[in-house]
Amino acid sequence: MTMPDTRDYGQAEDTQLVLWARNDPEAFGELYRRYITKIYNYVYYRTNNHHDAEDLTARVFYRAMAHIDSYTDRGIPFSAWLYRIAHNLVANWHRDRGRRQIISLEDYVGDGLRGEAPEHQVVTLEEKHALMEAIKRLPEERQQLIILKYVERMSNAEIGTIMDRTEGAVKSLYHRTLLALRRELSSDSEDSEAHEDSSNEESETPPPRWRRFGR
Amino acid sequence: MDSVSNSRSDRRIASVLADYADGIAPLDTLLAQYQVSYSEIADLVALSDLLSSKLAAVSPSAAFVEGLYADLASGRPVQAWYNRLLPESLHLYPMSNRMMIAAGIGGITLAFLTARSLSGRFGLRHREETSREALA
Repeated sequence: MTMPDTRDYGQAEDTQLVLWARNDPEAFGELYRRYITKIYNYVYYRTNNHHDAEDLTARVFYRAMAHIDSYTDRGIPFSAWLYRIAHNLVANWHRDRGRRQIISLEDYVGDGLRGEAPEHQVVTLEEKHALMEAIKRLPEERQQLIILKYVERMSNAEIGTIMDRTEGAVKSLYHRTLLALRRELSSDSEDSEAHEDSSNEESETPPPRWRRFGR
Repeated sequence: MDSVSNSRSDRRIASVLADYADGIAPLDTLLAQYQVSYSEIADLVALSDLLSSKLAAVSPSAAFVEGLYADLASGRPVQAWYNRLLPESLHLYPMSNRMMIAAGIGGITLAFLTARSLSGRFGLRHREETSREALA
């Protein structure tokens, strides 16, 4: 079957591309290019390493391609469908491996750090490590929310579509997530302070660790 | 009644925080709109700012992106006949290059050890037969 040459894949809406993709690999390729980085980001932050992120991201798109015929836009955009696939695969991955989510500090060195003094890089990495450790202790749903909001920069409405919640429910969940994260970070700070030398009576009690971030 | 007012207060706070994170309006505007005082949410606003500054998007490698594109464009994983016969939970997917190399090394090692084991047994059996013949 020959494909018409007049299809403008770059300008087509996702819904149109999905229809074409059922028998046009190039249409699926356009969808792939639109969402590969977003899905990779999501999976990366859920798995904490590039190798597993690549494997799982590939499986997301294999599965999407295999089931493209069964997808219909009943109020769920194609992007939301992809995220749900990714979420399920990551959840299965965690369950099957039962692994502790070990964070590779090197993975979090952003380009902006490379020009900084080494001692500042160490402090920044420690701060990020503590933050990521606290996030990983949250329930999966809350981790998903944080990643979608802060890494993917999605609106509450978009997040609601992906998580199958109303916008109001997303706002409420977001509030509870921040409260839980604050508790996690505060407990980290208390644990570390409990081991400090208490004989120095002149020093002020330092603020919770998360408040020191960003100085 | 207290629980109702707390619930309304929580909803207002949740709206301020969520709209602030979305950049819908400046914080002062949101605080006035939802009638929330800054002191109620100062810690959470700071935490939101922290998350915003520390969580950076990452990029997959170009090699991975192009390699996966080529795989998908070839249609191999979708058109594999064995996957159509199997339930989804048993579907087989192409392995990444890294996994294929590891599998290849493992296969070669296994083949080598098997061959060595078989040749060792054959050699031993041959020696046993030779010994029996010699004793006969």
